[in-house]
Amino acid sequence: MSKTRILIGIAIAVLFQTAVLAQMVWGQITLLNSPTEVVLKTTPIDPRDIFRGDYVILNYEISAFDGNKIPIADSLESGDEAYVLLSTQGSTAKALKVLDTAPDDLGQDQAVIRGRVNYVLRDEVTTTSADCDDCTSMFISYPIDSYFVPEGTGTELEQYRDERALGVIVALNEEGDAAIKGLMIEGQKIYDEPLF
Amino acid sequence: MWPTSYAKRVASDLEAWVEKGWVSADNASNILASLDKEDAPSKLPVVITVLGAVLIGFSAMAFVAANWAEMSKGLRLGMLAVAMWSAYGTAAVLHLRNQVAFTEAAFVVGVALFGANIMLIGQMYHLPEDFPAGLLAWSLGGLVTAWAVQSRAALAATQLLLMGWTMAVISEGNIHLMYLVPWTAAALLAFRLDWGPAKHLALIGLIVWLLGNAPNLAENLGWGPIELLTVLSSLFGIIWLVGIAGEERQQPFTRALQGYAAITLLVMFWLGHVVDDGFEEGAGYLIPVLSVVVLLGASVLAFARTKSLAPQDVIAFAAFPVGILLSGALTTSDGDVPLILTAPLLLALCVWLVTLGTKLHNRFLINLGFAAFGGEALYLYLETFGTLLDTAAFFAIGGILLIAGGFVWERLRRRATAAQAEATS
Repeated sequence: MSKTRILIGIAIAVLFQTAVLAQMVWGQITLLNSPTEVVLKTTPIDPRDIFRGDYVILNYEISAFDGNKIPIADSLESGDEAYVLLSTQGSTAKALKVLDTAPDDLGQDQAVIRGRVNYVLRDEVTTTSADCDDCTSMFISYPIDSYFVPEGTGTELEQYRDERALGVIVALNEEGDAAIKGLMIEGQKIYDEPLF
Repeated sequence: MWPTSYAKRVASDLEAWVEKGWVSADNASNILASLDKEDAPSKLPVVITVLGAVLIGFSAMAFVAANWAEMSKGLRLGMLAVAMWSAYGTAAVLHLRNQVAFTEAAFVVGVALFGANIMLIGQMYHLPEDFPAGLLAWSLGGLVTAWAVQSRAALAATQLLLMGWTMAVISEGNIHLMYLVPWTAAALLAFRLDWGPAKHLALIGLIVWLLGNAPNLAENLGWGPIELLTVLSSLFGIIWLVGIAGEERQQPFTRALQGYAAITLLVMFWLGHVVDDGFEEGAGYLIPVLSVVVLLGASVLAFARTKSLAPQDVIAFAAFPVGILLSGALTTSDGDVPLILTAPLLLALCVWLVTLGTKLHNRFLINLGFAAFGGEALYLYLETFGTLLDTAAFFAIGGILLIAGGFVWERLRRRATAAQAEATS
């Protein structure tokens, strides 16, 4: 290859790779700037990623659903995208219903978060053999299940697992996309995520 | 081959050739002298340099393990961008100085840092762990670089990343067709650069993709392992025949095609004769049997159109999927496999492989046949005697058998490869 051609090639490679990285950052920043913000209760587990450092896996209260308590869309199957309608009244968000499409209009004090159905059980009898009207149980995972923390602090957060005192501040847009903005313990903000 | 080992090999061969009178002593001395003088460019520095580049890439990824929480995100992003741009800037400078090997190494560092940056940005903004998406973005970055700068090392790294991507998607239970798009782009570049290792990686990538998708496809079709292995072995039998026909027509890369197909077929047969799942209740025989018929047809066609194949070769090609079908049909509901029938068939196929390799002057097939025969013999020994004798006797007898068997087998292998070498010289 001629010298000019390889220099042009290098410029193309650099521009393409930089554009991919910039798009990743821009997408998250746009989401973090969303005006809708909720706090989700969670229980952290402390694993470690050899390449990405210390992080906690966040197991949200709004991940497990019981059809007897929360209405669940009948059409949802494992692997489907699910939309959980949330009430933002109170200190932490509560699930109102599980939908198979994003709601057209959100009421006041409502937000929606998009997840994916991990599994759904539609047994007619519960594991305790008690009768129930809707025995559907469902587990939904969200794309905000990892939170990277400074090295060594993962185990500190894990102690709040049993107390369910940990809250995650989440920014949401109208399509249900979510991004983590920070962490709260017993109502106190302990980590705040700056945009830059 | 490294220059030093090549020189040693030539020296030893020359000694034998002088004794046989094929080469005069004077000519032998001249050849050896030319080897001493020859300043053959060693590949070792290139390999070491590229490996060093890979290590730098890994160190960047592991950098996140260190505590960098004190820095602002903006500073971190700046560091990541500058590191990546520096790698490509260094590549440009090295290229202008005609440092080809180091330029290639710098491209690998650039691609590695791009991957590291994807992970680090994911960490900074708490993006979900999505290996397939991350590997796809990384692979595309590598592919664009490889095409833009026509880099061999970046291409090889990209081909490996693409394999990682497809396996990540497949491991989630999906049938992954999209892989073929970037795979084709990478394979085209491998042929454009006319670089052997990348061509091999392209072929390996295709085989990995085919074999990786096969279990998910079989599950969708309601096939058990035997049906799947039968169809796959028919497919790879056809690929092998295409390789033989192509080699006769002096098509490039057809010998490698035969080698990979032969390895895959042997592995398929071995799995087929050890798997303890017979045909499942209500299993469809139709497609597996049809696949055998297609292979048989292809073998007959190859026999008619090529000079290399004999009638027994047609039978041997078909024997691979037929043997697997037979194994499945005869496996009892308790999971007892009919080794007494299928193991001798596999051993016979290994011997046939040696004869085919000799006929085709293909040393790789000869060695593969011997290695597979030895491996199967070892497997049978472990399966049969291992259950009868106590541990000490088992290992003692096994050791004696291995040494004796290895000695005899190596002599046979050397004879076969020497005969093949004589035939080609």
